[in-house]
Amino acid sequence: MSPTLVIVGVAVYTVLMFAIGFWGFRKSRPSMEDFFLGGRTLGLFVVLCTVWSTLFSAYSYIGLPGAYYRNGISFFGIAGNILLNSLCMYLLGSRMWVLGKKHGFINMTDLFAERYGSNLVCVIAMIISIGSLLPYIGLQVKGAGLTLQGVTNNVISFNTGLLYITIVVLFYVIMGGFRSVVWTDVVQSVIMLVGMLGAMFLIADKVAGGLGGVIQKAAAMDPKLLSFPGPAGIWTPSMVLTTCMVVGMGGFAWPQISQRMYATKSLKTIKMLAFIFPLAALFVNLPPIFIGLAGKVQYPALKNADLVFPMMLNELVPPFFGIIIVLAILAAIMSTVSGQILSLTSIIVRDLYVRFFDPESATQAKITNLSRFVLLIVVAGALAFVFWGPSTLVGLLIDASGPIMLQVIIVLIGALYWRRATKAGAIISMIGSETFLVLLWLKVFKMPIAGIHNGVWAMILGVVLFIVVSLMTKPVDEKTLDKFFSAFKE
Amino acid sequence: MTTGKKVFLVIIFLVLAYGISAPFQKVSEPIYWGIFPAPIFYLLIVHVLFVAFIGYMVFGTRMHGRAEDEESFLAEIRREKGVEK
Repeated sequence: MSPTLVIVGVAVYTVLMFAIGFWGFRKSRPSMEDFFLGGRTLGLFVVLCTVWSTLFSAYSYIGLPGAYYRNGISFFGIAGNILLNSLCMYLLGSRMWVLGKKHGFINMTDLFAERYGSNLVCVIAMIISIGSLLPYIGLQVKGAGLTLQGVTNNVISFNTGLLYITIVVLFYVIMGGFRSVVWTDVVQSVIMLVGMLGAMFLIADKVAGGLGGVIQKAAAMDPKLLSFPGPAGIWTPSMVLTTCMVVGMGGFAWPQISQRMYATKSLKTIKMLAFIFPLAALFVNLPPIFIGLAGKVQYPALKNADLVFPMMLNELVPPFFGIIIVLAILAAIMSTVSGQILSLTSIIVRDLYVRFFDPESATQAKITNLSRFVLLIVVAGALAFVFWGPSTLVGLLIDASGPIMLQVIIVLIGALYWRRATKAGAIISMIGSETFLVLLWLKVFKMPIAGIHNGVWAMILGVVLFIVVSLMTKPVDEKTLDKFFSAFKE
Repeated sequence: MTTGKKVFLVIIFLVLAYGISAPFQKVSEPIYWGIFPAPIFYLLIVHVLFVAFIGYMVFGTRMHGRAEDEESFLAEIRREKGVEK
C-alpha cells in the first residue's frame, strides 16, 4: 500500500474529525451534564452508532480474524455475548436512565454512592473502573501507532502515529465533550461498517471466489474448522456460555457503555436499542469468520494468527480500498478510546473531585474546564501505565478487563432490583470476588471443574458474598430505598 | 407482572441461554445457503429467537412499573424539581 495514499486518506479523515470537534465545541454549554452526556438528548440512530462503535474496538479487525484462524467457526459462539449485553441494556440500562433522569446521575458509580448511602462503595467501584480501563486506553493508542507504522512501511514512525492518534482524539473530546464523541462515532461507524463488509467480500473473492468458496476450502482443509468445540477443543458449551457472560455482562458494566444509557433522550430509545443492537452487531460479528477462514486457506501455517488480517490487507486488497480499511481500524480505535477517556474523566471529576474536594463551590463552568484538564491526565496516565507500568499488573488488567467489570454488575443488579442489598454486601462482594479473580489469574487456585471461565467462578463467589453479607447487615433506610424504587412500582 | 409470567420468562431465558452455549458439538453439515455451516446457522436461529424474547420483554411487559408511562413519569419529575426549587 502506498504510504502517500495512506497519509492523504488519514489527513482527510483528520480534517473531518477536527471539524466535528469544533462543531461540538460551538454547540456545547458549560455544564457537567452537557460535557459528559450531551444534555441527555441522544436519539436511537445516534445511540446505536455510538454504542456500536464504542463497544467494537480494533480487536474486531485484528483480533477476531486471528481468533477464527485459530478456532474455526467455533469462536462464533462468543457472538452470543451481544444478546446478554442487550438484555442488560433493557433490564439495567432502562432503570439507570429512569434514576439518572430523576436524580441527575451521570455514572454508575455515583448511583452506587446514593443507593447504598456509602462513598466507599463508590470509591471501590471507581478504582475497579480505572484499573479496568486505563491499560486498555494505553493499549489501543499503542495499537494505533503500530498500525500506522505497519501500513506505511515506517514512513509514519510508531511515535509519530501514537502522537497523531493522541492529539486527534484529545482535540475533539476536549473541544466538544460527549457531543463531539458521539458524532465522530456516527462517522466512524459508517467507515467501520464499509471497511468490514468490503474487506469480507474482497478477501473472500480473491482467496476462494466468494464466501461459499471460503467455507468449502476450509472444510476440505480441516473439518474441525467448521464445528464445535473447534480444532483446539476449547469451545465446549460451558466455556461458550460462561465467556458470553463475561464479555456481554462485563462489557455492559464498562463505564463507557453503561454511561450511554443516561445519555439517551427517552426510555423508549433504550428499549429500541436493546431490541435492535443484537441485529446490528451481526454486521461486525459475521465478517471476521470469512476473513479469518480465508486467511487459514491462504496462509495455512502462520505462527502469529493475529497477523492474518494485516497480511491480507497488504497483499490481497486493492490499495484504494485498503485505505478505507486502515481508516476503519483507526476509527475503531478512536471511537473506543474517546468513549473510554471521557467516561473515566467523568468518574474522576464527579466522584473524586466534586464528591470529596469541592462539593459546594464547584460551578458548572469550573467543572467543565477541570474536566478538559483531567482528560489530558487520563491519556498521559494510560500511556505511562502501559509503557512503564509493572508488566504483570498491566497483563492482568488487559487480560481480565471484562471479568473485572463483571464483578461490579452484581452490585448494580442489587442496586436496581433488590431492596435488601446493603453497602457491606456490595463492598465485601466487590473486594472478595476481585481478589479471588486475581488469585485465579495468577494460578494460585485451580477450580475443580474445567471449561468454566474464571470470571464466572469469581462472580459466583461475589453473588454468594453479596447475598449473605447483605442479609446479615442493617438494611439501607426506607427513605433512600423509596427514592430509588418508587418509580418502578405500579 | 404475575409470578407465573415471571417464571415462564425465566424458563424461556434458560432455554435460550442453553441455545447460546452451542450444544450442537461436532456437527458441521449441512452448509446452509452455501455459506453458513450448520453450527452458525443454528446459532443464528437462537440469536433471532433471543431477539424476539428481548422484543417481547421490551414491548409486551411492564418490567419498570409506572416509569413505563414515560410522559406522566417525566411530568412527575418536573413537578418534583419545581417543588425543590
